[in-house]
Amino acid sequence: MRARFRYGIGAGVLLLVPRLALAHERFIKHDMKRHLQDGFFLQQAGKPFGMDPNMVQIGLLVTLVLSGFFFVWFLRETLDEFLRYKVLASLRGGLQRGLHNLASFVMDKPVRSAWFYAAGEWSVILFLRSPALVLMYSATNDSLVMPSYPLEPSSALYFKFLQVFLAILILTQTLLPLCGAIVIGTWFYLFRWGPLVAIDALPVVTAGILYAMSPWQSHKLAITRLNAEQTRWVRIVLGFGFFVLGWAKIYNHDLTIGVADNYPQIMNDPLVGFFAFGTNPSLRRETWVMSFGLAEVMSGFMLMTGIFTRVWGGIMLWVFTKLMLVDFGWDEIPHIYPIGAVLAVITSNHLRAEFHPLERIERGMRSGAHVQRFALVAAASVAIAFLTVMPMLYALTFTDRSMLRQ
Amino acid sequence: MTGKIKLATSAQVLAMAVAWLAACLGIDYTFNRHLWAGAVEAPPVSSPLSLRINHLCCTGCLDDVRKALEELPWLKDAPMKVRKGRLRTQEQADVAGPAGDYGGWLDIAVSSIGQIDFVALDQALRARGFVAAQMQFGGPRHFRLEGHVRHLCCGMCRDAAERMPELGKTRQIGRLRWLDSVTGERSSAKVVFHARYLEPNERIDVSELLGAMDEIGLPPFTLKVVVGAEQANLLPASPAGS
Repeated sequence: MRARFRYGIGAGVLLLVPRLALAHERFIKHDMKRHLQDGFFLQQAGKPFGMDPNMVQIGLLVTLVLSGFFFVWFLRETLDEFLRYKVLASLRGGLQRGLHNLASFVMDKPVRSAWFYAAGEWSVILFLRSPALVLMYSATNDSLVMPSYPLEPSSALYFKFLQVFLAILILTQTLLPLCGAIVIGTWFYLFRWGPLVAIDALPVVTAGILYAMSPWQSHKLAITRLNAEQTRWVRIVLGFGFFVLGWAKIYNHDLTIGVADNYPQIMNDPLVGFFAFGTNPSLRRETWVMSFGLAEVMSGFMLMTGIFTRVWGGIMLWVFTKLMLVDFGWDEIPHIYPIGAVLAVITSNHLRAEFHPLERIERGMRSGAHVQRFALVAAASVAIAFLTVMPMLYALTFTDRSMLRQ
Repeated sequence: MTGKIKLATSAQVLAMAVAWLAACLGIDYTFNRHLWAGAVEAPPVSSPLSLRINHLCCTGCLDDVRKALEELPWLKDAPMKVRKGRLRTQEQADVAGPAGDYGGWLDIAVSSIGQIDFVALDQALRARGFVAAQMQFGGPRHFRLEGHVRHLCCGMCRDAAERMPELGKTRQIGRLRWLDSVTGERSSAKVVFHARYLEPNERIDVSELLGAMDEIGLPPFTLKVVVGAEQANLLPASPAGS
């Protein structure tokens, strides 16, 4: 029974296994200097659930942080009331407005400010057009959509011209629904080269969805705002992309550590360091991969579910900008695209979370029964966080990574 | 005038996406037939040397390749086997239509790997009108390749040779990934290429190295595999791959 159960989990996860990962990260140097202890990522005899205790520790710490964010999120109306009636009420003028806008920004509420509105318009323009820059960059670097998929010389010319054609449509804002369909169709085509290549390009699909939801007469319109539905789908797809990419980083751990071997400064991230705090120092590289991947899983999940979208979007914005300007430099120039997408989301005034039933129950309990309300919120937060992290982490220990080294 | 705003329906977007996917696959199938041919079979463990010859269409090609290789004393009676299936005869190939892949792998069981000279191998093939697109070597997990060049007159020549791993890095296409470091010895005009420890069944492509030596202007006239202890004066001063 146990063997069958393991087989079932392994088979399930195998659906995500790439057939071809060789193309991944062609432009960012990723030659591994020293092999990881592969056993760390796999089932180990005699350990609880067959998992390395350091892995479990990191997983539980990420679960704890996630739970904390969920707990505060579900109680944010109470916090907001406290801020408004106990703190802001005693203030006046610009300071009051500034603090109110800051609180609204952090709690994903509409920010009523002219400069925020203007920033939102500019962000949408950047987001709508930046995929064209990535397409042009890919065309000049013999790759398709993202630099992780190098084109075959025998067909490169055709795909390069098609990418330039698509980029011109995007830059001139012509027939955007067709652009959306082309982006989505190209993304499906990337599956031909393995799920990892498609996962890497998943953030580009967010633009495809936005284009597909635009009017046919897009060339005659100044598109400067996202409506609530567009914002929601862009947020969900973008978050899902990073959520999956985080798991892919743990699954394809050699590639992740290979990048760190070439750019060791990225190992000094404070959040990642926090997750790996207290783990076995002899497993520093292994625990770093785990923490790094789970940090991306966490931020992707927050964005996907709309929990503190602006806070997590802001963190992602900082990370992408730092990777592009400081850590990797020119090689990471395609990051200009997710930067545009994240900017468009965090400057939107149409943000909402995906846990309406729970929020409705919490709202109903606000008039009384505080203990039950806090208990419900705490239990729900822990359950969501635990289910987000631990089952998948456990399932990954059953996967065979040998094909990644072919 | 923008007129009435029209949005695309889900069905329209889906139809266009599927049409585009079909177009991409069509281009791919038309121009990249070799990629649809299926996975490449792994080389047998008993053959430390495998040659990828991009034109190995029929038994006639194979016969000429064999003749070219058997001119080398250390390959005189070496078993050679085409990795995938049976080759067409010349008559069959005459009437066969376009194929996805015209090349193939030839696995060679060499009795003593110390005898392998990749430069001699390359020259023997070229003399018969063939070229090995890849020369894969594997078996020992740790080894080095010793090449002799005609010209290594000064410290700058030696420096140029020792910077070869950087050539692989600047290209960033995964070339020479197996190369850890290079050391040059002026007195004997010898350049030693230290390979990283290989995983079991992992192989290196020596044709990458020959190409890189041509690029830096130091073509070797011999390139042999050496397994075993290194002489003290040939230990690398610093790992170039770091």
